Amino acid sequence: MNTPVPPRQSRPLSPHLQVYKPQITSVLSIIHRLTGMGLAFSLFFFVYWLGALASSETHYKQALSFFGSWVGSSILFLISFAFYYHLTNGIRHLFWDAGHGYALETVRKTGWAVVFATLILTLSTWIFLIDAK
Amino acid sequence: MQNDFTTPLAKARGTGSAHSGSHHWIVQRITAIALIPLGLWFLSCCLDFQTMAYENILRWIAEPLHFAGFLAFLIASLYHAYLGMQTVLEDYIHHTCAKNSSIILLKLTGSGLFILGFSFLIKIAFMGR
Repeated sequence: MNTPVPPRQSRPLSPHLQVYKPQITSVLSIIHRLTGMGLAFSLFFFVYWLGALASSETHYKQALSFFGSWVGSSILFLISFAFYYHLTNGIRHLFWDAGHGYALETVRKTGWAVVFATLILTLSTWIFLIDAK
Repeated sequence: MQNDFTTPLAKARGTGSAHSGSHHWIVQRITAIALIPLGLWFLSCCLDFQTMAYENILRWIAEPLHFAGFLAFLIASLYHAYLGMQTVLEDYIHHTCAKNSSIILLKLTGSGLFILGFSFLIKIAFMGR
């Protein structure tokens, strides 16, 4: 009696990311995850900043000089970009959760709206910041 | 007649539905909606703090409503980040032991950040009286 043995070869798994053509939908989805992870890590900086405030003026000044340094400002810039992206794309997700905006054309349009809104909000925030100094 | 489509073998292995997935999903959305106003408010605070003196920042955060807002932002952002990171770990770490230990580590990190942030906030509230 021969029972058929299923072939145990490792086949490539869908969706074949290495040969998948990047599209606005998939790229924005990946960026949503990446910015979410970045924002999660940025909570370390939030708690560090609170700790510096709670400690003393000297420590607060130290924290400020870190955030004002080249490395610190670059981190803050990336956090602000991630914040605006995750916020605007998150609102897009909430509309999907409510059952709206699933037409392909709408998905593309709202996707590009998120991209432009993120760029405009991030740049205007930093122009405001540099202007205030 | 079974009204549950999990096979008996899958049930014995514990791979059936845990009936707790919707809670994760719902809390993720609730914290997301809360973070829209809270996040924008926190960002505007950060921009204001740029030009404020140390003592004034302490006094400002010590105001009851501002303190409550900071606490709400701390809780909502940590919880939302925890839920999101858990999903990422579950999606990309396939080895069961590594997955479960990384989720435990994530829970400990999130709890630790909450305890630290909460303590710092209380200290700030007393300093800014």
